Amino acid sequence: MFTPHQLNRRSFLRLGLGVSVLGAVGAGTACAPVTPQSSKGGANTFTIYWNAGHTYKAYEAVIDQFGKDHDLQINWQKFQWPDLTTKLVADFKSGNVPDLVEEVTAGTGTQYGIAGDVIAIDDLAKGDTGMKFPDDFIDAAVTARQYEGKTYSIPFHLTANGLLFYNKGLLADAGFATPPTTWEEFLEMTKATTKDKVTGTALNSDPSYSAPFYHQQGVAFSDVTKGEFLTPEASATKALQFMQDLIYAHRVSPAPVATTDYSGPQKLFSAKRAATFLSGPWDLGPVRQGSPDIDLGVAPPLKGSVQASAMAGAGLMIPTKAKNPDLSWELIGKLTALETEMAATKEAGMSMPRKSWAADPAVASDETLKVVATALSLIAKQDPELPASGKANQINELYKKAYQQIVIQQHPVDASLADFRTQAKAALS
Amino acid sequence: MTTLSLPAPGVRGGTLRRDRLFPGDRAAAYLLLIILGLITVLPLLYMISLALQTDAEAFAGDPVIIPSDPQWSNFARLFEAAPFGRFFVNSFIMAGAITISHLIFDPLIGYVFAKFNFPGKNIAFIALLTTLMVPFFVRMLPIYALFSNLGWIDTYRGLIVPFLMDAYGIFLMRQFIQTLPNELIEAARVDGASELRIYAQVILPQLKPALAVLALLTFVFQWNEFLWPLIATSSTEMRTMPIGLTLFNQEYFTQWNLTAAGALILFIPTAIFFVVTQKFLVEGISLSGIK
Amino acid sequence: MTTALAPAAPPTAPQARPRWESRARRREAGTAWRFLLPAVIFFVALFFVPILNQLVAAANGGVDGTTFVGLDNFVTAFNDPEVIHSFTITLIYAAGSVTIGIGIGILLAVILNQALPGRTLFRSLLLIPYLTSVAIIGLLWRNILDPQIGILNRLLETVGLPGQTWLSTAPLATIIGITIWSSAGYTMVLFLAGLQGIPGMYYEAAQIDGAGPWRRFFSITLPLLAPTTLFVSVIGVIGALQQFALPYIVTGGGPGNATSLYAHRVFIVAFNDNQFGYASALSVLLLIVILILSIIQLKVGDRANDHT
Repeated sequence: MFTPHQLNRRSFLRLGLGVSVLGAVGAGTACAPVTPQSSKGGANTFTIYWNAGHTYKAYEAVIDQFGKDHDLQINWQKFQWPDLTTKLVADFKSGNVPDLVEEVTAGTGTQYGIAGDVIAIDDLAKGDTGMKFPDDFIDAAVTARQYEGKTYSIPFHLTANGLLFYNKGLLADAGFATPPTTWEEFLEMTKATTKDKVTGTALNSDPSYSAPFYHQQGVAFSDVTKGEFLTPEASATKALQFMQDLIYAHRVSPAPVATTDYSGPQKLFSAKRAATFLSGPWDLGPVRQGSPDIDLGVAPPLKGSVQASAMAGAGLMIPTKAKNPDLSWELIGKLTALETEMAATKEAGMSMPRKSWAADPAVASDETLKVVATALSLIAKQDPELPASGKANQINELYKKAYQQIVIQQHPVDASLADFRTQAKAALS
Repeated sequence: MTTLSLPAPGVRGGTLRRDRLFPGDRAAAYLLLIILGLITVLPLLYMISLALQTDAEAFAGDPVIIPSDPQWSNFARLFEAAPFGRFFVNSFIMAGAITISHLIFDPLIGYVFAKFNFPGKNIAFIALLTTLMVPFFVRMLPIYALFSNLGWIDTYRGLIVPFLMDAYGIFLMRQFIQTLPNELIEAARVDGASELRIYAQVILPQLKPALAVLALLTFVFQWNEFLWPLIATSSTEMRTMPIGLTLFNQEYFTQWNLTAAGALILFIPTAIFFVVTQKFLVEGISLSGIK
Repeated sequence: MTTALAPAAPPTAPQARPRWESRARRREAGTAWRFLLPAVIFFVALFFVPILNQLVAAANGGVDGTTFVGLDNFVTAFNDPEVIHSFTITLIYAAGSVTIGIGIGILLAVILNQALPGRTLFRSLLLIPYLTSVAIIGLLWRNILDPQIGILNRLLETVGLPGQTWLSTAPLATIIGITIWSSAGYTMVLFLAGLQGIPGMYYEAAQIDGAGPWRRFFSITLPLLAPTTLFVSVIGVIGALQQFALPYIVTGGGPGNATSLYAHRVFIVAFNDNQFGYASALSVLLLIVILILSIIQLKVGDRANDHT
């Protein structure tokens, strides 16, 4: 077996350090294949897939302790959501699965559960009185994760999209001592605060930020049993037309940009180029960090025809082929315990699905958290049939296209929504 | 390296005397170069600026060109947040081993296609070229399933084996070797040298520039590879640098300063490798007959 | 790919067949296949078997991807408006990035082939984007081009120029632009190599005959660069048709589906919609298209070569 080292010496020296180092490393690897200790297959390894943005110290402490208690080697893998999904899907196909996975959003577990890739946790929950599931958990968060009497994931965080973040100073300057509560007031306020380089608000390119708007017009995203989407249709048009008009007719918001991160509006707010923006508790941290000098106000969701917010928040699921589901369930219990929830809230401002969390004095006495808790109680119900159909992701992708066409490309609202409905119905069949 | 009938490198499509395209054409060319150079380099310089920003600057909405308080500590923070040293080593092992493998196999296969005749040669060559046209993720899942069964997931083997050789490198080598004269090979055969010896002592020494090009392109490509290492590793210790960099995206936003710092570190070996091989770059490609 | 070089020795094609010659030919074939063995094993195991696997998968559908549906997936593909749209914009993307890339590549190569001071520096600088990870490039440009918080618009503002909204108003062109930005240096190097293969005496002879620089460029340089141009074009089109990372990282395929290139669409179908059978069928179709386009280009190239 020959190697490149048989090149003559002069040229070898000329090629230089690079090749010789590579050669040493490469030869070393070829002779001694390295397999690191912690592989998923190890009997006492416990593998967790997690979102890189949720690695709070509170969770670290719980997971470490869990590992010590059970003498386990913890393999805590952190990803961005799309990468986590890609990896998980590949794992389901190969049978080489982790022991516990964070769920992107309610319904993901249902989709995998119906395909047989994650387990229903009802039996585990029944046998665990300390968990108080589902009683201590906010209804909407639980029902969104159920199908035909089976629950496929546990709510882990519960956040609501639709909170109004506002710059108290800029609003006061425009004559608004209190934040708007209805759509009309919101429109008035944004017009008043739009001047020079400042816009009244900043809409997001991500379609989930349109959910508060259409929920506030009483619209449901889907009714799979009837095969309908975004109904009542007139209300849906009204909601999206309002959003489009904010940008192009009233010019109180810049047009969002198609990107894959959702931080645009928050950055504009922090740069004092937007007086308000609509989002969820996840933006509290970045605003406080990026612009500590802004007097931040957080107001409850607006009222269109109704007052509503859109549910968001991760969950926890157990793959079917996990080595020890009982063990995984135990960790879920610890991660969702009230003390852990409170610690995470204290550390990162994240809001939680337990009713006891919302009732806890620490939450009730904190101004911002109180508003968040209010928003949580206004969450619009989700259609459990959608994830069960296995087409949720596909249909959401189609909606994303329609939404971006409306707010970024200024396509006519009715036409885009009609297209979406046709394609969504086709996807269902 | 004797009397190869190649055009003397250094002939620059030269002219007897410089005649001008239009008055001031040299200055115009320079201006164009400077503009294009700036367009090329400024975004990357901005990355340096990003790498030195504070967290507050990264979250604020006002982009900063010159950070007010350069945070050299961002580079150190990378290593605290995650085992970046380990990621770096993993990337290096993966890219290095693959490069070595290419340097071993690609010229050998290229030699066969360039200098041998045998039944089935054309079909084999066409089959080889078709592999160029297959996007990676077409073969990704079946390979993942196979490696899973073999227990190769989360190992260096699993990272390296799918890329041991490829048609692009073989094609490049074949083109180059085709231009080498046959006389030396024939002479060695007459002398009774074994085929392997002929390859190692007659062919290989003449391939230096092409090998340098191959090594550079292979290393750079594998160093920056993202999708396969993501799928093929399951533990933090086996991650490679590009994946490690994604750890700095929070759930809804990218922490720019740390990501940029990581990107700069990621760039260093590439830069070194490039500096070492760059003089061969043009020569190597030109002598490979891709013209 | 014959050029003005001393051509490689012609393949041995014996007329008569003395016994020692056929033994030599058997020996040649034996050596060839022996040397090829590792490659055969590798390519069969890691390319052809997976591709076959995907062909089989393409004929399946259903929730768990094991129901045989024959050619249904292919029929669906031809009628799927998203797929048709993706394919169309991918062709536009390929045409734009390859042609403009070739133009810029030749321009840079010609300029940097001259004995200008700082030539090596410029060549190296222009190659840096090519050496950078596409993930970094995507994120960087997305950051720079953001209309509200990106640095480009801030700079334009300070100079008094209006800001740009290219990511929203011309997203496909923006992606093409980023592609060209990152590969111009590499294309330039390929053309530099091509230029250096043109013997100087052609230019000298032409100049003596009185041909001016433009004439020399069009009559000598361009035609003799044809093989390089062909190579760049074929490789460029193959790469462009497989482009996935830029849409994934910069725009997520948006706005709407304006930048959802074909490979990105396949990825979404596989990993977002979970329809692996359909995704496999789409991959097979892509492979066929790439094959056809490559063959066309090579045939056109061969004919052009015959004329020079």
